[in-house]
Amino acid sequence: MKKRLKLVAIILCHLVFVFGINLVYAGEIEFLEHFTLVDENNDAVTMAGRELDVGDHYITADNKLYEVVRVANKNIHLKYIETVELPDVSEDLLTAQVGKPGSSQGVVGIYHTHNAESYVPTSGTDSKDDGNGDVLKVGKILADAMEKSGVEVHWSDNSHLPHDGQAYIRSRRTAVELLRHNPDTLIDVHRDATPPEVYDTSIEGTPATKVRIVVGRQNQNRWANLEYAKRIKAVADKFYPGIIEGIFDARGNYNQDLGPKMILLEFGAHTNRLEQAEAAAEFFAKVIPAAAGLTPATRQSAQEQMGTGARKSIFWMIFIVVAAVVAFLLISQGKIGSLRGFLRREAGLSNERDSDPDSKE
Amino acid sequence: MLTGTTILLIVAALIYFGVGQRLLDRMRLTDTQALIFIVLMIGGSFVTVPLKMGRTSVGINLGGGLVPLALVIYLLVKADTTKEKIRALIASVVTAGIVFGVGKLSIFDPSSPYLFIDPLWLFSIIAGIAGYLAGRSRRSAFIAGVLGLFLVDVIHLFQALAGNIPTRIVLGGAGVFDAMILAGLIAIGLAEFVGETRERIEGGSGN
Repeated sequence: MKKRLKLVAIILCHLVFVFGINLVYAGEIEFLEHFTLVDENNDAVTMAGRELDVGDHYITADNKLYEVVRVANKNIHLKYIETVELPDVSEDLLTAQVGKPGSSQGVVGIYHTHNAESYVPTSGTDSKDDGNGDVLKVGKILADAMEKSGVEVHWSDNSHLPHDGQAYIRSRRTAVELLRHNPDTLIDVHRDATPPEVYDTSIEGTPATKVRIVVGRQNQNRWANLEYAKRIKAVADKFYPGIIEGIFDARGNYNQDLGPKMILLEFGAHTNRLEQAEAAAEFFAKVIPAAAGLTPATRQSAQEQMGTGARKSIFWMIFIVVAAVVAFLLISQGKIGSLRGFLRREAGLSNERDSDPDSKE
Repeated sequence: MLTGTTILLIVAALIYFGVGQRLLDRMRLTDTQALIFIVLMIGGSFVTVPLKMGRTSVGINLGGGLVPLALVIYLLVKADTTKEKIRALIASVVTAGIVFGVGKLSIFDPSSPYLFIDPLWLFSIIAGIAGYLAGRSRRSAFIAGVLGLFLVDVIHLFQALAGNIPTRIVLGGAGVFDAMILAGLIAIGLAEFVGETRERIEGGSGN
């Protein structure tokens, strides 16, 4: 019976393998579908190129927090939770100083998981096969503009093609390389896939795209990164009201387990013009240093505000480890009475342990 | 003074490396051997050897690629029977097949409707289940995790070279935080839980 089960499992696995290879070609067909987020009255809240999952959260441009309660076809149904209060950043902005080139204003890393992403009205395609997508230009402009204000920026144009489910595993390697420069924040620059009106805007008379912030909720840094996202929005709202489309706090990791202040930004959609996204990047170069606390005037308040999220992350991490240990003891011994013994054994303070855990199988 | 985010980084690192060492220790490695491997993975993370430059550039990281592969080879050599070795290798191929297939199903990103969890964690869970089913041991789970994810990269490498795709493939390039190592460690943990649960259900004792 067991042999038969194994045989079935192996056959199924190889079917998936072969099916997967066939889908390589399906993956190259561009079908940029989008989803509409609707509230309890079926009024559209926004649109997104990503599908959301029940339990995901969205903070709108006017700071309304919604939770996804149901997904039906292309509609994502939301429930209004509350209006969130963003961090108070007014004092920061009054005292924020734009640095001079050569002065120390912190370190920022920028990379692109989906480096082929492009803007159709400008380039005639939403994705460039050579991997040299328009989104690289957006990231470079963000990098150059921040460098002008004294920030040390490490920008990577590494290619992570193809654009599949393993792209983030490949870009993880770029992210870790950038982390060796000890950046204060790491930004993964993307573009979304929605109709143009979602991101169309004008900032100080210049046509630009809005920017959406994405926080992955399937990692231990979720709360710290969410607090950072709120701070980015708070600063952006002060400098350039209306530039932030919203914040996703959604399923996924997006390599944000690698540290706090790891963020994903969507500069417009494939239906917007590259020039609009570039303008948004130029504006955003003023937002990031203040939000990440890179300028001397903003450092303390950034640390204090993000400390709240960090403490929540630490609490959850420790809670999960303790819960796992308790669950393990309950499963293996039927009681947690030997917790002290377990910890002593694991710390190497006691010889009382399995000499070979695998040998008992 | 340490900031909240710095403390978060320190706590996360302590848990990751601490739990990692304890998991490696469950594969017939001594405490010292497990510690040495963790230290080698951390130290080797800073060294990437370029293998090929050009449109498709290829490299391998010492800590995230060579060290875990060396550990896999060591475990295979030390396996008691040929059957155990074959089972671990089959688990690796099966893991690679499923991971590759799932990676292609989730065409765009972790928000794909085909996935319930981020691919990074999903692939580790697949490796743990495949490895445990094939060998019912923590060692085969670890081998399936590391070797399975390595094989996925190798498939991608061949596809990229054959199609002259402009991409960069650094095997184990995220060092000690690479998906290969994460998959291996999570697979051991999963096998540990599954094994203990099975023994409990069957009336055995964990000790």
